[in-house]
Amino acid sequence: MASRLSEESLVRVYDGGLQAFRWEARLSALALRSETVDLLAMLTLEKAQERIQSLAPQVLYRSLMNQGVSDCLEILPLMSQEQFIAILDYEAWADGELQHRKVFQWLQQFREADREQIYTRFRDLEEEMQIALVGPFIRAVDPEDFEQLSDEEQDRLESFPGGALYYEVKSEDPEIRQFFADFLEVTMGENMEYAMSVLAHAGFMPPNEQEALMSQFRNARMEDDGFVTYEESLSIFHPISLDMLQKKWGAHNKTALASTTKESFMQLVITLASKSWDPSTLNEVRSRHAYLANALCSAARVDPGDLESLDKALEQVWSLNGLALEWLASGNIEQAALILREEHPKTLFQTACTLIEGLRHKGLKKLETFIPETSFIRTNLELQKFGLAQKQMDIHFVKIFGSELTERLKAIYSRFPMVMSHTHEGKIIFRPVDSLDALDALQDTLETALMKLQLVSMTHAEELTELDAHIQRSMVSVQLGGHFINRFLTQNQVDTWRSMSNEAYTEANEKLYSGLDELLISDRRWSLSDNRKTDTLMSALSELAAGLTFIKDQGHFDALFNLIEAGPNQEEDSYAQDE
Amino acid sequence: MPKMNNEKLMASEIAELTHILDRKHAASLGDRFFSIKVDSDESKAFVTVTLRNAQESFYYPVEGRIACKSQELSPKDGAMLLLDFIDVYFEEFFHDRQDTWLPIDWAGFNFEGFEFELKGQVLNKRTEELADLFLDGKINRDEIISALK
Repeated sequence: MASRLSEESLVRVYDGGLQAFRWEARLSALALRSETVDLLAMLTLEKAQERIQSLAPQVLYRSLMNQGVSDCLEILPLMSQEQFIAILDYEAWADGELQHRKVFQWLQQFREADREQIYTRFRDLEEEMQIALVGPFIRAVDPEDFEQLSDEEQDRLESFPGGALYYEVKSEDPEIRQFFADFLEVTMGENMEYAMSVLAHAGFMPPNEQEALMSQFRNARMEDDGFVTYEESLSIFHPISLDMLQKKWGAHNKTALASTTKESFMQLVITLASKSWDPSTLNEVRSRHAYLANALCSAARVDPGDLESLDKALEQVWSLNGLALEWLASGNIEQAALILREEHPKTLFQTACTLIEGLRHKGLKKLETFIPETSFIRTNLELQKFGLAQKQMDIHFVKIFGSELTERLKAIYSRFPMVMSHTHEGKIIFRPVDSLDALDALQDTLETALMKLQLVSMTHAEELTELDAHIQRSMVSVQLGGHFINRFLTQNQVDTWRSMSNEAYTEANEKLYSGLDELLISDRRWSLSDNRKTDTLMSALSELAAGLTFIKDQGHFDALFNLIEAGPNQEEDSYAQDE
Repeated sequence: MPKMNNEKLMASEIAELTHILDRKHAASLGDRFFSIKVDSDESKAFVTVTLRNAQESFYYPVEGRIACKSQELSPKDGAMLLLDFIDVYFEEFFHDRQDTWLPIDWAGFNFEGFEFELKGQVLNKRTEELADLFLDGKINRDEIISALK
């Protein structure tokens, strides 16, 4: 039995990029979501039907979902058939397959609003849709064939008046049986000829043919709302040449804001735009962003009816475009507002993707020099197979980097790249790369990973495992006056290290820092940039050193990092003697 | 359908399934997480998937039970069927802005041709615990307010 909770399903979730990490949305408060209206208030207005039918289907759908369909039943009869078909396009398909139950649920809601509507709405669907809906659940038998059936089989069939046609509902699902009971009751009452015709047609049609046709029609309609094909959706993530844009807007990689504000850059730009633009311009910009988010859905494996994921895609679009704006406008908010108005959101999105891809690519190339398996990850990432790439990270990275750093690396190499925001109850909360500050954080994470690999490579380790423990053991070696070499310690060495006075320990640490600092700065193979400060290095080292101090103070040697685990070098002389 | 057997879900498999469930819905969980409990014998399987936070101020156990033997399912397949359906349910729960609810008492469902029952109710165990302490006279009103902050 194939399970939904399988490794394959996990790969799919990773592949989409929106769902597999805990992340916080920082822009939702800006009302950047797609437009909605108060439908019940609309009912009280003159020409309510005309107003409702003039709404864009996605706005109507979102509004219905916000207010709850069962609370808006009076709205349903007023919507146009085109709007209803669009809603089915959003909601009644999953992974390219028609979700019959969803359509039946909608039609039942129409029946609750106005009994006759279950018939009229169904009748006015495309013929192919009608057949695709009925076909899988109805077995129709003409009078001649009926006579050939056994008594038992005949008893199972329902009859049209006069025995003109016999049928049975093939499903045991009570909801589906109830739908056909209600639908046929109303339809037979309204139009007997039609009821017979639809059952006869559907019952004799080859299965799935009509659904495949409907799927094609639906895809064509969805493209009008921006829901493009998978391939087109993937192409939006492709990097572009930034030379022209950089020249046009005078971008240089600096910002005055990154270190002075906690608000995202886009928040500041939108606040300015909402004060200085006329509302229709802001609405136009919002609509274009919503359209772009729709276009990303296919790549992100989001069904158009999944409003929560749609909101997440929109949040990512605004966030990444915030990064692009900050970079293009060099941190100038007025300039950024101008760019936001002038440039298409897709151009901004691709600008951000290009900035990030540059770093991600460099990072992978460097990781590959330390971890050969990274080449498989790189190949999958180049093909935008994020799910497979992240699965391989789980396999190859966790044992080297530990679970936290692996998670942070996976988030960077996600379809929608993210950086760590904070931790909450032991879980990492990420945030989108919405600013140059976040882009710096992304680079820091990569450099931390590379620096640790570089440090371990200095110890001539044959195998890359548990980098942190590896580095910490080498640190202790230096603190004891030896080389930066990873070897298991003898009990005597551990006792000496434990009994070091505070002064001696501080002095040993200073020596350690300056030695490693010098070594790493002189060898920049780990660094992604020639101009980086050593902050990343120092912060990673401090973290490891703090861990060591904790171990020293608490005496949890064995449990925490196998300081004195039996190893090939345990019998050798101490490092101090080596030195 | 493979030949029927009495295979059950192992603890390691349950841990892996919990991890997958947590990961599949990670972006929607906030401070909450899933836990899975499976209890089965050759005739039936009973599964509880609980979505909760550490304080248990949000505590949502979704319980399912299925008659395995009579439907020619192994206890493991029966439990997996319930877990799959509960996963479908939570998918819908999150998609519909966490506004899709199950009956609070056992109710019949049908999935992939099999019949089973489910129930679920969101509880605030933190508040309930405080209420009990208050009724027992162990804490006062101010302490409740400060505990809920």
